[in-house]
Amino acid sequence: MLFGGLLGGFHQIFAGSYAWIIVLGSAIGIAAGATPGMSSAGAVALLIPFTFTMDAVGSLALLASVYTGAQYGGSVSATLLNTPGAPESAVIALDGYPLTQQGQAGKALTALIFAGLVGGLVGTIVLVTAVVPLAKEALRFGPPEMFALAVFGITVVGSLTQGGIWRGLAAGALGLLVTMIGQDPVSSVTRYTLGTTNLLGGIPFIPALIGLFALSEAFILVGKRNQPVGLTKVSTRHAWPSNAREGWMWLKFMLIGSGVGLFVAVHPGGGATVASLIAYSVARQFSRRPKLFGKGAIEGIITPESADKATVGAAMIPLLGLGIPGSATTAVLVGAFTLHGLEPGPMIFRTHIDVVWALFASLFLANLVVFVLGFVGVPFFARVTLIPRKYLAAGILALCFVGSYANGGNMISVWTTLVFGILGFALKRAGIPLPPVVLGMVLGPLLETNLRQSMLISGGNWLFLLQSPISLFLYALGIVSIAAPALLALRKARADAGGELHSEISA
Amino acid sequence: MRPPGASERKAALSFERGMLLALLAFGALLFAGTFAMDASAVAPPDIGPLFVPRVFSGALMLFSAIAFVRYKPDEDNRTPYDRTVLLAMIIAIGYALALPVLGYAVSTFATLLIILFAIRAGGWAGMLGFSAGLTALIYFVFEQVMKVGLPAGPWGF
Repeated sequence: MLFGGLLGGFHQIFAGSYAWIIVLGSAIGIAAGATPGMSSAGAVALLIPFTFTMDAVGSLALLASVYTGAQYGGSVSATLLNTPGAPESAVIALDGYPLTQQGQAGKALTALIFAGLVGGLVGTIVLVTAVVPLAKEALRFGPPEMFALAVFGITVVGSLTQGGIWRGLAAGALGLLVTMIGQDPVSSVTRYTLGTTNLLGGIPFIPALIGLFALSEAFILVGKRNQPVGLTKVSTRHAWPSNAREGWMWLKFMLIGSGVGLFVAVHPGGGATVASLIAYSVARQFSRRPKLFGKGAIEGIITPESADKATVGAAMIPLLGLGIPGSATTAVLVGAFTLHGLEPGPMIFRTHIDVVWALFASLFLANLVVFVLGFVGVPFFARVTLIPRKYLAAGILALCFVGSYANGGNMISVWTTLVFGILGFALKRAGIPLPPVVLGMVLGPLLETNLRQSMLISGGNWLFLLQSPISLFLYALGIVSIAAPALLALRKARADAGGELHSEISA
Repeated sequence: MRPPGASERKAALSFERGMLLALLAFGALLFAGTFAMDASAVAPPDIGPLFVPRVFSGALMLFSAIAFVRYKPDEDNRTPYDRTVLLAMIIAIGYALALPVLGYAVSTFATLLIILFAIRAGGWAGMLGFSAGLTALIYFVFEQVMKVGLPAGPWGF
């Protein structure tokens, strides 16, 4: 049944000449993903009008390949320009950009493309083989478990912090507070809107992200315009692991990332952004050199990239199994399904099983095509950083504004980008890290909604949050995530104190 | 580029501490703001729309206060700043104001040219070519390829 169905899907793709659509979609996806401000959800949404004249298989093949390509493209711009094309790629910039600054862009891009292939294939294989049983598991996640998942995500702040944990925690709290602007998600009470209707829907996330990560970088580039070091030349010579041991290390973190991506994305609302952030934290715990994180650790990009790509297939499990999108992009894909008279959910396996198999085959092929395009394009992508810094700053500034406008279609998006761009620069100037701000912005609504729903379900019993084994497991992971860096810092302080004492005795 | 002097270092330290105080004040402002909100329609067992903002704003006040008290300057990773950065921000604000009035093409071309001139990017030919070329390229990609409508000026583009 499984192999027969999948073979039937591949037959549909090749017999219907949809393979070229997948190549085109993957290329568009990579280009769109690499463009600052163009998330995979935005790229898929923009492409939906192009599929009006296509049939359901062609339409879904195109959009699935755009989705796959955009996930990789976003990581490319995050690595080369420190301008994540999408929220899920923000964490890639933490170590990808330092690697580029160290002249290892080629190696970083190679690691990304392999990590993307492994994560993407793992995600698709799990989608194909386990869509029904895993969807059943996801059904067991109620508000207490989702709240626990969000709490675990918040504890990642401790791992993401550079320049002092308290500054990081303050940045995380700032991000959480930003999500309080607008109507509250449960009772629709208006909060912090300053009397304007423009803020009722809250702060637009993508424009804020463009501002925080891309526009602030344009201002920083202006400040660095006369510095001779930095983005002057990118070498692609060391594009491979130095030895077999490093190769195994790459593979290990690819599999870890894929596992995290699957675990998070299979739960409705988990999404690629949370998956990549958690994967980064997990990678730091598993790494033998956690101090290198944020300064150019290759496993710091491999793990979130695998997680990110694994979510493409995994996020379709709740979409197809339950009819609930697992990510923003799969939510946009619902529009493509309905455009062709299809209803994503369990019934689609009875009514249009042929379209489902073709979609699975498209995802497999899109991963392979993105791998080839990305691999061939490594020298091309690496050349992006050779653009003079002054021109790059001006170009990023214009792209930020236009990308932001394209995302929201209004000036509120542009002003949001501008405000967050200036805020991002000020925070960076003050030594306050930006990733916890974004983490807070992602997890704020998840935390509040599930906390309040838990209280409503339990009649105000706070112990309800601790009654599920899954929740307890997630809280335990959160404690480990906070305690591990603190214990390491304590150990380092003791070692330093011991060293100083030893020096004094020797003197 | 010359190394930062004592006055620049002092200014940077003041800015870092000032930013932490600004975050503390922002948290206090939003905490106080919750008392001006009307949540009378929400009844238990719902914890209400004010509980979570109070927790988050309280956390911001607490963490920024601790960060201020335990402040340690990070000399290695200081973001460079001079008046040109401020000028770039002012130009960006001007771009946001001009975009809906003058339209995408004129405002983008003018902004690129002004900012390149402000940061002394090079000769006039290069700056004009880059500004015109990038404006046209972005227009082509967004308007023609992606079919995303960009703001139009009185002249229709």
